[in-house]
Amino acid sequence: MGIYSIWVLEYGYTSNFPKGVALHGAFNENARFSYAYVLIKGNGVVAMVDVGFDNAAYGKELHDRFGVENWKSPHEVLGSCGVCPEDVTHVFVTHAHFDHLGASDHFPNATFYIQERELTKWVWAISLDRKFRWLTAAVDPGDIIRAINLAQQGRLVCIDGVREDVLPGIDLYPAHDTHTAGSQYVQIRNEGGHASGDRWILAGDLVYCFENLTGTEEADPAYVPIGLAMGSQTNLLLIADEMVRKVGGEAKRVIPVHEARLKDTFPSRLTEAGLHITEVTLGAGQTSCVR
Amino acid sequence: MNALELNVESPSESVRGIMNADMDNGSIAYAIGMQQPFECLQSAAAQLAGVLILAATGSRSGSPDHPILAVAIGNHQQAVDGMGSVKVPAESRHRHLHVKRASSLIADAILTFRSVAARKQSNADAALVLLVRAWNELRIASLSLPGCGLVDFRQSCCAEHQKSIGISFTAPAIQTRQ
Repeated sequence: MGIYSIWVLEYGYTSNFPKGVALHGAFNENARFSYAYVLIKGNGVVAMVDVGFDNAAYGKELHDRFGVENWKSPHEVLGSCGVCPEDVTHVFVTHAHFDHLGASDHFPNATFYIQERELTKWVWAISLDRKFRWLTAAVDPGDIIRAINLAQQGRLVCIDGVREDVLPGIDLYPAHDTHTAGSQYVQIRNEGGHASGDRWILAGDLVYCFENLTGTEEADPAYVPIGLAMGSQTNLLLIADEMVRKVGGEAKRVIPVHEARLKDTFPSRLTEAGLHITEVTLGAGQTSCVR
Repeated sequence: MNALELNVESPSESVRGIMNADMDNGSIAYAIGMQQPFECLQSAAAQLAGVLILAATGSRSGSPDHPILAVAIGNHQQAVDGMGSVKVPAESRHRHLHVKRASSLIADAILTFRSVAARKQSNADAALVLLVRAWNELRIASLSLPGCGLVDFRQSCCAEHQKSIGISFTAPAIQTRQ
């Protein structure tokens, strides 16, 4: 067993998502799309990858216009694993989209780690003519304002490139000019050392669904990018390959949090609130949240 | 045909959405007229937030001399000009009050950050306080102003795009007390 437990916690979903956004070329197909974040626990640490969005800010619009259903607060979602938002000390922000950074206010004791480029390129993008507004879609300036507060409190750490052992056995890797300008992904070396064979990658939105890593033909695997790249789809393919290589070629160890079928791949359970908890791995001496 | 449609050639999707809103005609005209000023205010606030985040994270470019502040000032002026040319019906006076407050607070925030004495952290802090208040005013206004969202979700990963087309908008009641 490794050091850390990893759970993917659904906090909402949309039932009828256009799959072409998740998988380039999958036009006219629809699928369930999970909104989720990752809880990492072990070695006396409670950390998260992303924090979801705050329903108070735009939940009604997301529900009414975009079919986002059954949003639950971090307090309720984490509570189903016996954790309070106040327990979380580290948050690794894969990118600054509202559904990954928006609920930062719910985590008063956490320090947030983000690639500096994610902020500087956003600032650049908002200085452009409004015809370029697509570049800033899905970033809530309200989240940036909250991030200023975090920085003033010393709770925002801007990273430039790779940061190894941000916590023991946990590394942050840049994925610049992919889904967003300053995306990053998280590697967990669950045996701690750099030779660890028990590795997991939490991919943020670099991967939306399994097919991004495998293609649609089992007999002829291929990388297929997500359908939403503010950077380059070529870069997305190269990063997909980099991540798969880091986990020894075992694509299953690259975790796409929006993938609704994740629950069928790992042990999971449906909470009373109708949301899925997926137990990617259980750390030594820890209690399962799905059994 | 809606009378307003006669005055709008090839309306955009958002204007069509406003025209379908469950509001009186005066407020619909107001909401259409306020789209551009609102967006300019939103942009000005975001641009100021951009410089403040650079300043707060220790970037040398996060100074009152950053060129994006000039863009923010331009956007704010455009908003003021636009608001001045919009007729405010009685039914929308309260909405307008929030937008005006936001405008005033954004102007104060930019001025505070840019002032000669602003070369110290305390003025960045003061600008942030004003910006937070401004953003809250914009948020309140956006709740009852169709076509004036604070975040553009239409092209974001969340969008179940089909639902966003032809959407009708029901403006929630606004409290008249402060």
